[in-house]
Amino acid sequence: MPTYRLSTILWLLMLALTCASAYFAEQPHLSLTLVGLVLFITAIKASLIVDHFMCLRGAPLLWRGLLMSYVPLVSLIITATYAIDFS
Amino acid sequence: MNPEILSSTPSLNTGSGAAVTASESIAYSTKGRLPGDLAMWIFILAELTAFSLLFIIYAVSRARNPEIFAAGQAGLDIQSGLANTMALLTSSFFVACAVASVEKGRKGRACIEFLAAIAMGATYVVIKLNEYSHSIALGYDITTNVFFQFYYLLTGFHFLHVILGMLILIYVTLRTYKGAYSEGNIRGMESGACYWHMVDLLWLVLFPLVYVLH
Repeated sequence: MPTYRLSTILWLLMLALTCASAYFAEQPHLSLTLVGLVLFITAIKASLIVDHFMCLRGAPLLWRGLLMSYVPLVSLIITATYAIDFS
Repeated sequence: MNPEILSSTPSLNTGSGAAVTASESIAYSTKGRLPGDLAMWIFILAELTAFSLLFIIYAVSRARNPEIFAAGQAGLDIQSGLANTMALLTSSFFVACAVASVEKGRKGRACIEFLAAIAMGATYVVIKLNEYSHSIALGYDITTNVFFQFYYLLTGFHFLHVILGMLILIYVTLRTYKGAYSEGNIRGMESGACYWHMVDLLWLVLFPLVYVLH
């Protein structure tokens, strides 16, 4: 279980990353780089939630691996669909 | 969902039968064990799988109809999506603090933190309902086009999970208030907390997918 201070820092970091994602939504043209960047930010936020808020940092590897790989895997598939669309 | 999963049953076995101190239980909670009950984690995996299929079907459908999706997404209010993301992240933060408070034996503080988390969940519900009513008033309903079908399906399905998560948090708060959880006996509360974090995790994917990437 993270300390209150660590939880607060992670929460503020995730809020800042969310604002960065929203800023990218204002860009006039969507590119594959932008898609990858936004989904990379999402994967970072997800890993913080899984490791620190869900407390899976010290959990059995199988469960931690399943949860940690979920968002990156889904993000990769989503990015692939954008790559097909842009091509 | 079986309420037994959220009920507190003694889960720490010291082997010597000695009382577990707060510091021991905190150390125990971070070493090689799955927080909460296995049944809840299987349920969470099933939910994540169902949502991942919906996300992929949405992304494939978007790639096949980029103009329809771009027009639909441009009509959504990014500020509402942003506010909802903030509300759910803040709610998850309060839940994580509440679990830490119970582990440290601070029952009163934990109850306040759980109530704050529920309030943030309620904020999400109000914003989402406003967004739905605004979209419907503009004439965008589930029959409008393929984008709005997915929009209402994905966000509506997630909305139902938020409602279920809030009911779980209310139940866990009441049990915390009654002193049902203690330093070495928190699996039920952890199960509820992890379900709520899963709801947040799903929204983290939904937000860029529906609101940002267009």
